[in-house]
Amino acid sequence: MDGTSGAIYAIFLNALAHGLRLQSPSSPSPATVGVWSKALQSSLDTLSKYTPARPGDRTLIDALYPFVGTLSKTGDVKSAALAAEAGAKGTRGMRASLGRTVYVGGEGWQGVPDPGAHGLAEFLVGLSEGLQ
Amino acid sequence: MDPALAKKALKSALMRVIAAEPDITNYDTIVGDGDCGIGLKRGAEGEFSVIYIEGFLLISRKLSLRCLIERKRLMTLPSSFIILFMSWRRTWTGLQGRSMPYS
Repeated sequence: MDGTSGAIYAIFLNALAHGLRLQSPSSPSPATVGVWSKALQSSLDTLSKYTPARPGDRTLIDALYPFVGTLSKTGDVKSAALAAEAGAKGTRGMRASLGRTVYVGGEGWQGVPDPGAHGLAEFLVGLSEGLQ
Repeated sequence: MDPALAKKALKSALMRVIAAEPDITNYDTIVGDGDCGIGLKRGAEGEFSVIYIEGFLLISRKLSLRCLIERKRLMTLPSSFIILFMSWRRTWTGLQGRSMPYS
């Protein structure tokens, strides 16, 4: 599964751009949180057609889904980023069915979160802090 | 969305990824092949230099993703983040264009 996250990000972001364009208003106006949420949600739907990864598989999806879900519900980027962080932390102890941890043996995986999920969560938390 | 705010947010996100390198490396040493943290850090630093040198929204779409990846000797997940950053920038560049609907 090495390198799968590259394809996941590419598909997700292409879908995100498409989702934003679909909502294009007739005259210029700011892209609101609502616009972003809708586009992000449709990106997840698109993504789910290409990857079987779902929350609970110990991948970056465990950070991405909570971010999008919480942003849609609350409209608050900070809450969404915290949800992503909680999702990444939740991969600690999770048995992998997809992603990098499947093909690497050894001990100790129970004690650490998925690195990809943690990296994405850090990115999203930093993003939300920068938007404050 | 304000381009200055978008730039500030991206910088903050990249700083966070760079600062997380030791932890990510530690985790990936245990559950992966150990290159995740360093690769992410290099990717984020590479993106940083691009932001500073060429300007966030003025960057050419022609900037070769392949060149950036090869220059930084990036591996899999790091290259993913490069794709993420490049796609994101491209999205913003498009959205900020005069003919585009979002301000």
